[in-house]
Order: sequence, then C-alpha cells, then structure tokens
Amino acid sequence: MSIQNKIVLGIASFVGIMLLGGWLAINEPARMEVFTRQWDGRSIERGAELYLNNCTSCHAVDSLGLAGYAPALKNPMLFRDSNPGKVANDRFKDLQRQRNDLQALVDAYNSDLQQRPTVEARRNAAAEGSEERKAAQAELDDIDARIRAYDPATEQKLADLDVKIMEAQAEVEKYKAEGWEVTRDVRLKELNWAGGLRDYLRSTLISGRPTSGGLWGGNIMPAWGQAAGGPLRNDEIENLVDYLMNYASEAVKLTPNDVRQQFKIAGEGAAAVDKITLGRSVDVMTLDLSGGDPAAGKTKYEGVYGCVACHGAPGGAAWEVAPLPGTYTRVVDVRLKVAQFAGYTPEQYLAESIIYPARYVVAGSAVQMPANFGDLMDLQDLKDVIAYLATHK
Amino acid sequence: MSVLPFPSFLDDIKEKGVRKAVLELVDETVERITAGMNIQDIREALRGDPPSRRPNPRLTPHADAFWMHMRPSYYHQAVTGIYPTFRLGFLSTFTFVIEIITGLFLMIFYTPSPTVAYENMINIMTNVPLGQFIRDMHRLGAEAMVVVVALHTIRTFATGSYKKPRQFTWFTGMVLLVLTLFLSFSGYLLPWDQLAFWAVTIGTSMAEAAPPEIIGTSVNLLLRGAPDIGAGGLLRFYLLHVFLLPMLTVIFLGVHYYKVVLHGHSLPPRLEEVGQDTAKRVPMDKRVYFIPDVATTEVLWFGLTLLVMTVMCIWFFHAPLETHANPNVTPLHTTAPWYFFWLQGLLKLGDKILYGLVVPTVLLILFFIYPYLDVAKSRRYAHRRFQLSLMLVFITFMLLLSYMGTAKWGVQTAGDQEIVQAIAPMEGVGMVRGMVWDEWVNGTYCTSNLEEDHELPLVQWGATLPNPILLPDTTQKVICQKVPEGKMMELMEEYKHLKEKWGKDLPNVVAILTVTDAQTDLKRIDLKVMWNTPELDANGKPIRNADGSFKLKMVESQFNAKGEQELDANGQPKVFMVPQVQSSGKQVFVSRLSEYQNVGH
Repeated sequence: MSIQNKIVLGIASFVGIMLLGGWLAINEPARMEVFTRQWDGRSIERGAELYLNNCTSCHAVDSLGLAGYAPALKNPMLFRDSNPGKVANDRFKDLQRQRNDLQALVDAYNSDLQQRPTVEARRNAAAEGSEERKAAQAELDDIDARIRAYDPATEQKLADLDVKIMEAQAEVEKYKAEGWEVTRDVRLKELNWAGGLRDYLRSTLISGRPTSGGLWGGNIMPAWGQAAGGPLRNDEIENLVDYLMNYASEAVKLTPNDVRQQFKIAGEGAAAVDKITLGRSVDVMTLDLSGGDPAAGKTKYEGVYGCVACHGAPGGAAWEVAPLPGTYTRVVDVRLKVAQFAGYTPEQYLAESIIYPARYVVAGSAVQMPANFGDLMDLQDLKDVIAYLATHK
Repeated sequence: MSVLPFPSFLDDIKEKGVRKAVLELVDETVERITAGMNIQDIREALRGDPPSRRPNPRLTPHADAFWMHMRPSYYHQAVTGIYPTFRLGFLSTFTFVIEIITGLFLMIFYTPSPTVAYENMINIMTNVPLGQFIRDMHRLGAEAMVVVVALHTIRTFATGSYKKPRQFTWFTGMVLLVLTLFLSFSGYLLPWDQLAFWAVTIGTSMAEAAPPEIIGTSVNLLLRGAPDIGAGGLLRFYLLHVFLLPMLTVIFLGVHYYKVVLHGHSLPPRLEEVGQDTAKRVPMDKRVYFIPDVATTEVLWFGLTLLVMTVMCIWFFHAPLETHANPNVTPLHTTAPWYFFWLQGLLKLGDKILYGLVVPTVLLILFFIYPYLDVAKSRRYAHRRFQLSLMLVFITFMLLLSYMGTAKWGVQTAGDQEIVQAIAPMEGVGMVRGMVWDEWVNGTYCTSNLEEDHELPLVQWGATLPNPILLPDTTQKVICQKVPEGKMMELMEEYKHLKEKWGKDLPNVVAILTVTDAQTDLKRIDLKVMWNTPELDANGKPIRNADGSFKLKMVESQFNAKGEQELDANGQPKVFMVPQVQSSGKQVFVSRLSEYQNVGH
C-alpha cells in the first residue's frame, strides 16, 4: 500500500473513532439513565428473592402481616403521609371546639338579655348621683356594649356548623368503617422518625426491632444487616429496601381493613381508656409530680406501657437504651450534672424524658423511644411510673 | 544587539524579518521534538520522497530519541508485509497500552475493598460518563491481549524464529506470555461479582494443590491473604494487577524489544541459507526505513484496530457484571477464565497434583527452554515437520482440554436442575428473564400439554412442601392452562425441549411454569420440575423394566394414587404403596424496569 493511501486510511480511521466517540458521548446521559433504571429493576428483583426467603415466615408472602408474628409492610400506615381517619377526626374535633366557642357566645348573649332588666331596675332604684347608681350604670353600659357587639348571625353560624359537624362525623365514621384508627398517626410520625421512609426501612432492616418481642408474643425481629451482626450485606439491605419501596403505589390505595396485621406500639392499649391525658405540649416544670405509687407504677411500666420491652433488656451494640437498673442514681449523679438541667429535680428530668424523649438524647443512643406517651398517660400514670423508677437506685 | 551573550529571537527578527524568523523557530522546535527531523524532512517522508539532505535525517531519531531507539531504523522488505509477523507483536504491545490507559481511568473510580468494590462497578456503569465504554474497552483489550500474545507465540514457533541467536528473546516472550495470563487473571477478581469471585476461587485453589501441604497452603495464604478470598485477597490481587505485574511486563517488554532491535526481525525461512541469520545484513535495495514506511503502517494499524475495538465496544461487546460476590452461593457451572479452561480440563482427568501442578509446570519449563533444546539449524518448514506436527498436536490438545474444562464436559448435575438452569440461569439472562415483559400472562403452564387445559399428571398427596412454597401447590390437584400463543408459547416450547433434553433419567417428568404478580411491575415466575423417583442400580443409573419403562420407587402413603384416603376395619387410615413423587425448582423475579430483552448481558 502506498504511503499516501495509508495516510488517507489512517486519517479516516481516526476520524471514525472521533465521530463514534462523539456519538457515544452525546448518547451517554441517556445510556446512564437507562442503565440506572435497569439496575433499579434488578435490585427490586433481588430484594424480592431475599424477601421471599427471609421475611415471609413473619410478614407473609403478600406482605400483609401475620397475626402474632409481624405487621403488614404493604401498609397504608407505612406509605401514606398522614392517616386520613385521624385528619378527619382532628377536623371533627376542631369543628366541635368552634361550636363550643360559638355556643358560649350565644349563651352569654342570652344571659345578658336576661340580666339587663334586673340591672336596669337596680339602677333606677338607686338614688341619683349615688355610687350604687354609677356602678349599676357602668354594668348596664357593659351589657349594652356586649349586646350591640353580638353578631345576630351567630345562631345561623351555629346551625351551619352543626351541619358541618354532622358531615365531619359521617366522614370519621366512614374511615372508622375502613379500619382507620382515628386517634393514631402514620407509622413514621407515631415513632417521631425524623428521616424519610427509605431511611426508616434501611435502619430497621439493619438493626432489627429488638424490642418487638414485647408486642408480638416473643417474636423479635432480628438484626439483618451485617453492620449489626446480621447475615445481609449492605447491597442486599438496599435490594430489600428497593423491593419494599416498590409497594408504595399499591399500599397507598389500601385501607387498614385490607391489611392482616397493623403496627403495634408500646402502650397502645392505654389510649383506649377514657382519661384526661397530659398531651404533647404540657410543661413538666409546672406539674406536681409527688405522690406516685411505685407498685402501680411497676404494673404500668411492665404492662400497660410496655416500657420494659426496651429498658428491661440488657443494652447491646445495635440499640442503646438506658437500662432500668440504676436509673434514679444515674439521673441524679450523671444527667442532672448536664448544664441544661440546672434547676431540675430528678422527677422533672424523668417526666421530660418520658413525655419528650427527643429533647435530650444521650450521646451514642438513637431516639427510638415513641414520643406519644403524653397522649397516653394522665398525670397519675406519670407520677406512678416515676415513683417506680425512683425505686431503681 | 541583545543584552544576552548570544543572538536573541528579536535579533533574528531584525536581521531576517518576522516571517522568516518565526518559520525558522518553528522548524527548529519541530526538529528538537522529533530529535532530528525538521518540517521539510517530515514532509518529504510523508510524501514518499527520498531524503533531500545527508546524513539521512530519518535515522537520527533512532539514535537520539528515547522511544525511537527501541525500534530498528530499517527493516528487511520481507518482514514488513502481513506475513511472516502478522503484526502480532505490535498488536500485543498495542493492547497492553490500551490496557494501561483504560486501566488508569478505571482506577480513578475504584476502591479495592469488598464493601465498596461492587458499588464502584455499578457507579462506573450508571454514573460515570463513558464509564461503561472504558470498562468494555479494558475487558476487550484484556481478552484480545491474551489471544494476540498466544498467537504471537505460536507464530514465532511456527517460523522457527526462536532459534539461535534469538533464544533469549523467546525466553522473555514466554515470561511476557505468563505475565499476560496473570495480568488478565488478577484483573478478573476486581469487579467483585459472582463471576470474578468464583473464577478466582477456582484458580487459586489450584495453587493450594502444590505439595507438600505446607507449600500449597502457604502459597494460597500468600495469594488470598486469608484461607478464603476476602478483603485481603482483593487488595493483593489489586496490587498485583495495577503494580507488580504491569511493572514486570514493562521491564520484560523493554528487554524483549531491545533483543528484537539487537538481532533484527528474523526473515521468512526460505530467504536464508540453512543455519544463516542475515537479518542484520539487509542489502540497500531491500531496506524499508522505519520512517516513514513502518511508522505510517503502525499508525494505520493503531487507528484501524482502535476503530474495530470501538465499534465492538459500542455495539457488540459488553464486559459482564454478575451479582455481588457471595461466598455462600456457588453458581451452577462455575468455571475459571476461558484461558485457563485447559487447566480445568486437565484437572478433570484425575489426580490434582499430577494434572493440576506437575504437568503444567513441566510443560511451562519445556516451553521456556525449548530454544536451548531444539538446536537443529534449519528454520525451513520442510525440515521441521516433526516440530510443526508437534505444534499442531499441542494446539489440538489444548483446544480439546479447554473444551473438557467447560461445564459441558464431565460435570454431573441433576437433570431437574439443568432444566431450570438452562431456562433461568443463576447468573445471566436466560429465556425467562429475557421474555418481553408485556407478553407475560399469569397462570400455571405445564410441559405435559401446551395446547389445552388439563390436570397436572403428578400430585404429591400429603407431602410437606418447603416454606415458601414453590408454586403451584402440588399437594393437591393442579389445573395446567392452555399456553397463550406468542412469546409464552415460544418459552414453553423451549421449556419442553429442555425437559426432554435433560429429563431423560427422570420418569414422567413434567416442568411447570407459574406466573403471578408479586408487586406492581414485578412478576414472580416459579419454575418447578416434578418426576417419579426411579429405582437406581449400584452405579446410580435408573433401572428399567423389560418393556423399557422405568422401575419406579414405591413408598408408603396414606393416600392412594387418586388422592383418596380410606379407613381400615379398625378405623385406622389404610396405607397404600404409591410411586414416589419428587419436585425441585426455584423462583425468579422479573421487573419491568430490568428490560433484560434489550440488554446483551
């Protein structure tokens, strides 16, 4: 081959390589996107295999849960942002509160109308220029001012509100019929989980739920991640997370009635008792925490609220919780020395820890304690549990 | 006048004018870079004109430049064609250079640790622009390098070019052949997928066979860094792959090239008198200068080969990536890399030490010292019939051994597993995953009849099935459905074909495929094979009755063949003797997103 032909052919080759390289580069973002999607698909497939071989004996093949073993994972309470039953119930409660406020206005107006002739008579009876007359006149002026300020449409508003309340109540009943527990929040909110659902699934898969035995008849979810001593590698945990996340579109369409087993939470039985609970905004520093009964506290600690499920077990690498023995001494000797607890009594510290577990987290432990004890306990419960804890010196 | 003690560029401009001064400066710079050739010389060379000045400027780079001094300044015309070299030596170096360049890119995105290596691979494929292409090039270059270097060795043997005075060149070439194999093998482990992990486990376990035991286990420990391949082994293979072996290769490549320049390319045997070596005495009229002829040819080959590799890597060749390495799961039909199939084949012949160690070692030593043993002077083909026959016998032998090394030969796997493996392999795609997703139709289909709904002929009455149950539940009657036309029918026909191929020793075998929805856009495919247990003879072969049918193993059961239970006079369940029914199989999940049918691997 002549040197000229070689040069021409060589140049053609290199131009070809450059054109192909350019074409490749232009298509590269699309290729990476396709590859990513395909790889996501494979991750779901591998997750499905892992689920089938490791998880079905407790969570069931259809992921709807098994009584006595584990809750449903294809579960609207896991995948929905909020519990529609609770939303409806909150609205119902809110409307009721509004109605009560309006009713109070109407009642006050009627009372004013009733009182006015009496006050007027008292004024007329009093001597001109006397102090008594002046006082009665002032009272009368107040009553007249209130009567003038009264919105005559209030009663109509009240009637409108009653219609809305009826509708809201019907909606609540509809959700109740679908199985929504109207006082409970969705799983992540109930657990006060700060991250997203993926993080929650990943974290739970890796560490397991060592405390679940207390709720599921001794069936404990073990740690699955190698990081926590389990059998699965990180990529396998991710495969499982991808598989579970793939339930999202189906799960949000379900109602709790479609689900075999719902999530359980420590102390959920206590919520059913009709009592004035502390709520989630109570100031523990204003509470009188004395007078608890340690024996009743023990029952509540171990039974009603299931605190023992976590705090009764020995601590481990995967999950760090404060152990029950020595609680009171630890609070006095260690926790109250922390600057932010200046002025606290041990009882107040314990009360805050129970009602607001996330306010102060001891380094090295994760906030896994449910933040709903304010909704479950009344003051006496709190006193009793604290009194019981005070016996653990 | 310049303040410098010599004339400056400005002085030049003043003296000669801008144009001339600049041109001269460029010319001078080019001459310095090429170590001897100015623009005019290059132009003449590329035009095919003879050099216009003496001494020949085209020879100066060979004397003065580092890279060029490794190349001869001229060749004998007889060795510049395709024959006798086939450019295999050049291609060997070319692939090595490709490996270094692409390897450097891959190194940027790779950490040799079992916890992240596989993740890195996924990242290279999904998140690094041109990552897949570079990886494909690296893998293709590695495979090509093994082929090219092996062919180069065969060619050198065939033309007798190893003979005196080139014995040591051959020796270094053998070192390079071994280094090439180990370079490729050490890279095999790095993706940390199942293919890598098990191929290297098999490869290194051969080292373990070396006697006495203390040597074998020590070598193994040294290679793997632990009794099994793990973090230590991966790091060691990585360091071998990116540091020690390339360094040795570069050193021996230098020696090899030096020896080639020293002795010249051996001429085709017919051109020389027997016993003569005239490679360094090239008559003037036979000389082909490196610059420009050989250089342009090499650049052309470089361009063409790179173009071919680029095309291959865009459309035809993709480096495999299987699932994450898992020491607990050995994929069915695991093999060593293909260039070690022959060794696996040898191992199947029997004694691990003899065939796995003694034979390869003796062969290797023979190869290294062959030029010193074969002292016959003639390189003529006609005089070397014995050697050439030996070569062909050896090549045939290697190909045969390689075939024996594959899973196709001498591997005993139960037929029921082969059926499932063939249609849905543990690693790779197979027909089930490769199915067009939208063609799946939920249902249960059996190879016993594709054309109409029918009852599954075998039932495992009263059996306890493992959890989770492999669908369908065959402890009760199962209705097999008519297979829909189209892809489902193609799939089931292949399934039936595989059942017939692998199920010869399984009486009344039926292969069942059950399609169900696992999630949105996720199908669960259960592949189940059922058969009656045959009675086996002392060799493990099924016993046949006089009419050619299988003799079936009978077992006690509380159910008769129709699945009915009966009570005897005492109210106890009657016991029947019925043929034993066995089943096996596995589940496969296929996501719509995976698009296996659009992926080559």
